[in-house]
Amino acid sequence: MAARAAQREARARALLLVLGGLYAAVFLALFSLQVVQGGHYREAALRNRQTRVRVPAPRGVISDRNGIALADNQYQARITLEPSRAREGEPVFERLLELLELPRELALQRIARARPGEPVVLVRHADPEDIAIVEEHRELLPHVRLTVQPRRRYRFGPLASHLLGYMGEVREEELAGGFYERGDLRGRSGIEAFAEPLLRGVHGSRVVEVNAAGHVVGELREGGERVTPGDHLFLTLSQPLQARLEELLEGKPGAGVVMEVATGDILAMASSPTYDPNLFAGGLSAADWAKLDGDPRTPMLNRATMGLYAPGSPFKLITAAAALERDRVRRGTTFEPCLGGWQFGNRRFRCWDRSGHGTLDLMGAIAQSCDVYFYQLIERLEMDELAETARRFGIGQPTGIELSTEEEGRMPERAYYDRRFGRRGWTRGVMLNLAIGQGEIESTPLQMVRAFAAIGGDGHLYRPNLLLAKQNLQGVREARLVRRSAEPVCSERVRAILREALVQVVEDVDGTGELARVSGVRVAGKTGTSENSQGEDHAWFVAYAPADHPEVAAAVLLEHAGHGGEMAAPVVGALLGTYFEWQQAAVRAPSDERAGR
Amino acid sequence: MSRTGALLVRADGPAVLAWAGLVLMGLLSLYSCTVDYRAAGEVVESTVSRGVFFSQLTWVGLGSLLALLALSIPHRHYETLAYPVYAVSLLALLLVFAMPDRAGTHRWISIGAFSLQPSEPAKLAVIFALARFLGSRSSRNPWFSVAGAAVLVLPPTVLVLLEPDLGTSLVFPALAVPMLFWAGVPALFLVALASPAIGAFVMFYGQQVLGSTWPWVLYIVAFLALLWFSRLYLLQSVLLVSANVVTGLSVPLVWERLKPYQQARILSFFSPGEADRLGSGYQSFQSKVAIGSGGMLGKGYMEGSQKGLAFLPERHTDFIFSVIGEELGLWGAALLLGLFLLLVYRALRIAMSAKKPFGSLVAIGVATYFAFQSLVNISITAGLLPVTGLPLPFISYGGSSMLASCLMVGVLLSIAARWSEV
Repeated sequence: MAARAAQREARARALLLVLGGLYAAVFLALFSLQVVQGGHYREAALRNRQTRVRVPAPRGVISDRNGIALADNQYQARITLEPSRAREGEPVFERLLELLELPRELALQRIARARPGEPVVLVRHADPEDIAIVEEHRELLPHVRLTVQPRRRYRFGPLASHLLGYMGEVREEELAGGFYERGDLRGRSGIEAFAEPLLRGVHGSRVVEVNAAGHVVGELREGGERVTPGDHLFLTLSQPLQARLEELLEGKPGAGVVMEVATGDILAMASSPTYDPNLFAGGLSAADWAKLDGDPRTPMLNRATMGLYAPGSPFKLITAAAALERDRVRRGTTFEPCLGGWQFGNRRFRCWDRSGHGTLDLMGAIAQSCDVYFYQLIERLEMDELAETARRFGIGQPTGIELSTEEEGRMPERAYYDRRFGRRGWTRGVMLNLAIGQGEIESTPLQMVRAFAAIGGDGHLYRPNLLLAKQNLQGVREARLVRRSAEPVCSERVRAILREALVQVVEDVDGTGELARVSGVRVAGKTGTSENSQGEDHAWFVAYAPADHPEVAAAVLLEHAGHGGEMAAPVVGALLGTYFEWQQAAVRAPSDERAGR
Repeated sequence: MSRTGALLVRADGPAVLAWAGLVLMGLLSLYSCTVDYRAAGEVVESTVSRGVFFSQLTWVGLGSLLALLALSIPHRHYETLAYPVYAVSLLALLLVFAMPDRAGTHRWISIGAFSLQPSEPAKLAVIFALARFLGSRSSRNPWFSVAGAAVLVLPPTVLVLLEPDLGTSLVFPALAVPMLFWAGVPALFLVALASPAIGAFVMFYGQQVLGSTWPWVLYIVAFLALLWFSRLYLLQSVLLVSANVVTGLSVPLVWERLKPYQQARILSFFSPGEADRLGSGYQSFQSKVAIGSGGMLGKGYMEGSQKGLAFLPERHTDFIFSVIGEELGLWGAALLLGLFLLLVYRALRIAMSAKKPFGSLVAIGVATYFAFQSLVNISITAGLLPVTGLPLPFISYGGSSMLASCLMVGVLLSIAARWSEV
């Protein structure tokens, strides 16, 4: 009995020892967790429940040169309620209904449609009043949250759509930089794309407390990073002038450009047909995009910089310059009279006026745009000589405008024809077409206006500017630089002759450009009617005004519209007319804005 | 009533104190899980509803009644009913498979709105059966004792394992070991008996964590050497070695049977580097964060942020210790450990003083139950063991566990109250 008891005692002691040891071990482990590593775990607990939430930077506003906002941000505020409180009878819910005057039916519908566990969106687009009410009654409205989402807005709809560009979702490869998050929008074309780094600003952050489901339950006052809004960009455009140009181009496929001669600033640039970039701001469906992109009228193409057309008769100025510069011709030089056509080899080249112009000197030939004169003139030039002069005038050369893409066009030369047709595959006959701006020459309306601005201005090609200035939050403004070519397009002597001829085009009785006249202002310009394989001739008119001390140059191209003098010239005339009318008021920026001069 | 009170005190005052203390801590912790949390901006509602607390309160009430009932029954009746009760519990464990499953598991028997987990009271039934068997004279031979215990323990273990409920299934073998020891089986014998389990663990660790079977081979070689030098009888040596080999080789087979989430849980424990904090390592990690961040003094009753922000999904059931650790700190945890240790200690004393073997063995069984579950649950919560579901008696939310634990206390007190009478 005693032995058994002793045995029991021994065993009991053994068990107690083992168990005591185990409990002690657990206690030590807890000691380690709570005391030794306590700090580490306290931090981990904080990390668990505190997280950094991005505060998106407001995107920079894009305005015209005078500050009229063209692209800005609309803020969509949403008012949400925690799901557990989104029920009839709940005091917060009832209070919210009352304060915002929300129809009960609608609110209940929204609750029914909400995803389980997610805050219920009771107001999708809250107006400033609603926002103010919610802010004011914050204490009475726990579990109610105001979230704000920015949306790009193009205030004038399709106005300058090709220049402003549109927004699209960031692509997978763009997420790498760390700046964008999936689902973010960024500029995809136009200035929105070109100046994306300036417009997007720097995102900020705030530290919030979250529960295990990731829902924000509170915000900490400290630890956030301030937001840097995107820069305000001033474009060189004049919104009213742009609107006028687009109005004049309405319904006519084509393009128009107005450039300030002294600086290269683009005061207006439009392409027709156009589209509304607001369609993209909320996210475009694949179907809608396909519709736009696949539209045979190509509304998304900026014809001013991407449309390639044979320059037609305006190119005659360049042909003349090439010959004048090399003393192959003088202002008074005459050739065989124009009888409506010219025989070259076994081919007959026509003049646009079948009845013929008779005998003309260079002035007259330009003023009346006689093709036969130039067919004869070109015989005195080598192809590469013509090409060289054309290059100086910027044909076949990119302009460097602040857009991601532009067409260079083409100015053919010997090497080109050799490549295309083989050494023996072509004859000098092709030059006759080149002389009058037809054939394989391709140029954009922007290139044409730049060339003419040079003729009218100081003889240098100016780089076209779209961005006038950028301004940051502190108001510090940085203006663009004015850039021009090192070499003039031709000598002063030649330029003078060209200018005289251009005035005659518009002001002379026989001139082809009389429909471009503007009362009170002398306009100098050149009509063009370029043949093309797709249909009727394109109508060109390129000009500058006032003729003696030009302020602006303009070019208008109307696709398949027919005769330049009939169709394009009046448009330029109307445009210039408007410009000079408004000249006093909103069109021009103060002169101290221009840097570099 | 006062007679009952006197009975209680006479039975074992300290044990009753420990019981009451644990129940109180449990109710307080559970209540804390149901309160809303005050965050930086506003109040976060608790996802554990207040109803859970009231439910538990009901279980406490019922359990207390059951305990008093158990106390008032002379424990010799338990001996008589031991085997029948055991048989009934086996039937109940079989019955779960006839019930519709809940989330792929068959752990419950439901009658109307009322459901019970038979695996909980089965623990007491097994204790009874083991006590009856080991207490009878025929269990002098250690081999016979072990074999008999194995026969009694195996069915419930397997049935519970098939539910599946890995954690609970391990309780049954765990109950048997100290009871065998108490019944006179030599310790070394038990250790030798445990060698297959050790071998199995070596096989598992080698294969799944280290990627090779060589550790196990080495272990078998070492074991053979040990047997040679200890000069154990040939037959017994052969039996032991074959047992080791069998269990070792069956480890891969059992591993396959485990569900992927169970495999992942166990693996993530041993290879914490791979354990994604958001996957199977999530619970362990969050639990440690909760406890660790409690520090010495805790964050204050009802103030725990990890609990309040719902970072631990099982905080009112298996992981409730993390709430105590976070809110009451080390002192609260120590208090809890102390209360369990007190209860276990008293049970041991009762076992020592009980005249009849049955009562003594039952007391050991009850002590083992409380010690095993409390140590394992807290170790899991503290990140010392891989996660398997094992409730903390009196603290975790759950009716079946509360009732079973209260019954255990009642039976224990019954033994304590009458030892002098028999």
